[in-house]
Amino acid sequence: MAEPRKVSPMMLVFYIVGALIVLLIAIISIYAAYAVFRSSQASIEDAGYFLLIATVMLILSAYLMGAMRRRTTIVSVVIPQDVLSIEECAKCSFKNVRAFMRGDYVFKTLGKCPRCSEPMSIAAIYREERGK
Amino acid sequence: MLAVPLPRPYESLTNLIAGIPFVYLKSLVMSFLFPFALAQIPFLGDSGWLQFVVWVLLFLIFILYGQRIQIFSMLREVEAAIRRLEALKNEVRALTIGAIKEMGKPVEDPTGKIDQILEFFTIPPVQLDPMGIVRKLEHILDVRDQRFKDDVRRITPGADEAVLNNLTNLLEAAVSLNYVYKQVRHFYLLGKRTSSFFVVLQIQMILPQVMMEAEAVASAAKAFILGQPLGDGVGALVAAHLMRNKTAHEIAKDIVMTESEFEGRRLFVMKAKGPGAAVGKPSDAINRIVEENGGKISLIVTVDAQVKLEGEKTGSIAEATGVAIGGYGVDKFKIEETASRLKVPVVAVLIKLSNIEALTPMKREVFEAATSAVERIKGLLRERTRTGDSVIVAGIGNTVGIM
Repeated sequence: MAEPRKVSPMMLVFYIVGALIVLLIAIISIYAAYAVFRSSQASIEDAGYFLLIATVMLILSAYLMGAMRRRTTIVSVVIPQDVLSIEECAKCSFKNVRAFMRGDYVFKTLGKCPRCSEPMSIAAIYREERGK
Repeated sequence: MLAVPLPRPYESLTNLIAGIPFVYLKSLVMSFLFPFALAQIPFLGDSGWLQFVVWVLLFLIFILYGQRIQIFSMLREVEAAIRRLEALKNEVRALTIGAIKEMGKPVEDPTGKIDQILEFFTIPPVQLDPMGIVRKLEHILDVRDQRFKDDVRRITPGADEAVLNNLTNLLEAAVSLNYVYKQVRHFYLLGKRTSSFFVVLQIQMILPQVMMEAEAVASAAKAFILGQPLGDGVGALVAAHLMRNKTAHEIAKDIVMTESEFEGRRLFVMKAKGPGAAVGKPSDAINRIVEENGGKISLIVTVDAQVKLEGEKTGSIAEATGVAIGGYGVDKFKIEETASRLKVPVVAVLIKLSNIEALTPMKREVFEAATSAVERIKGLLRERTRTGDSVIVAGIGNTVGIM
């Protein structure tokens, strides 16, 4: 249930190859801009066009890499949930936080409080966002 | 030969390409980016005609096949959604079968019966004559609920009432996912078969909403199996806070009520019967209390979760005038009818959360908001009622995981 979504190897290859090709074009364009600038027929305008192409290609390459990362981090059907049950003693306010177990419900009466021997109950059940 | 004047960038690029090293590599770059620059690479010489042909071809392709390209791209998007929906549907089906086998202790393999139930659907009453349609809808929904419960009871002889309710809700989630999957697939296949832009557009436009709903329903499935409180149950949780340590009795179908006193006011607090998954029929309970008290009820307060608007904070509380109950509208209609007939004021306390948060285990912010909502209700009672008044507080929502 909590496994990350699997991306098909074909798709992964497509993203990697695409990003590399675009990156290569960007590098070539930067070199071309430099070469034009240094050549005898130096033209700032033409060098500018190459730099523009290089910028577009770099952005496209970054986008492809980002898209690949997003695709591999999308989670499966049910988002993993850390659901906690909070046991509490009404008399001495002793608290015990533990993972939710099947059969737990809010205001369920439990065994005796380890501190004052009064009956404890589940005061809360909630989920914590992962990474918080 | 046709001489088409070139736009300035490509003209200068032609000159440029001729003057720098790695000329073919650079031509390749140009041709990749600008198909019409293909005509400008040095070894093709002065080939303006090629550029013209490329332009005309591109123009014709986009004019004649533009919509087909768009349909293709939209179908690809819907196809990805269908794959996701199918995965969700299959996973929830597997979860349902597993849970029924584990908790219901069936005598024989329930798979065939579950698959049969998954195809079950409800036919709404005819709307040509809307007179009395709510009663008809209520009857149909009652029959449907009973049918579901009977079916689940038959395949899970070992389940107690709470587990039975949870499994019934789980099966309903599986049925609704199956239905959504089939609907989306229907439009996809129809669009593909007819190549109709508008058929595909219909489903593509609502796809993000459909997917969000489907993800939320799938997330609820596991919570039903484990019996965890859902975000939607926050209304029931508020009522549970007010009912704590008091004796409750069943007053209507799956609805329990306590009668207590709050600062000289007579307080009737009700919610669905927990801790199994249930919403009950709060309208029957409210109407019964109103009738039993001869209409002498000073205020009806409904407490429910409300789907927040984008930008609103999860767990924020709002007050409203009117009856806050979701679903098909049968309960809302019945309470409104009684309240308006007997001139009983109706107010609502709403706890905001997202669609997904409503159908996934309750978030900490939502749980804590329930405590604030209790105080808000107390404040409301002090402001809006006087000593000696009778007040109904109804916690609306699924009470799974809440006593």
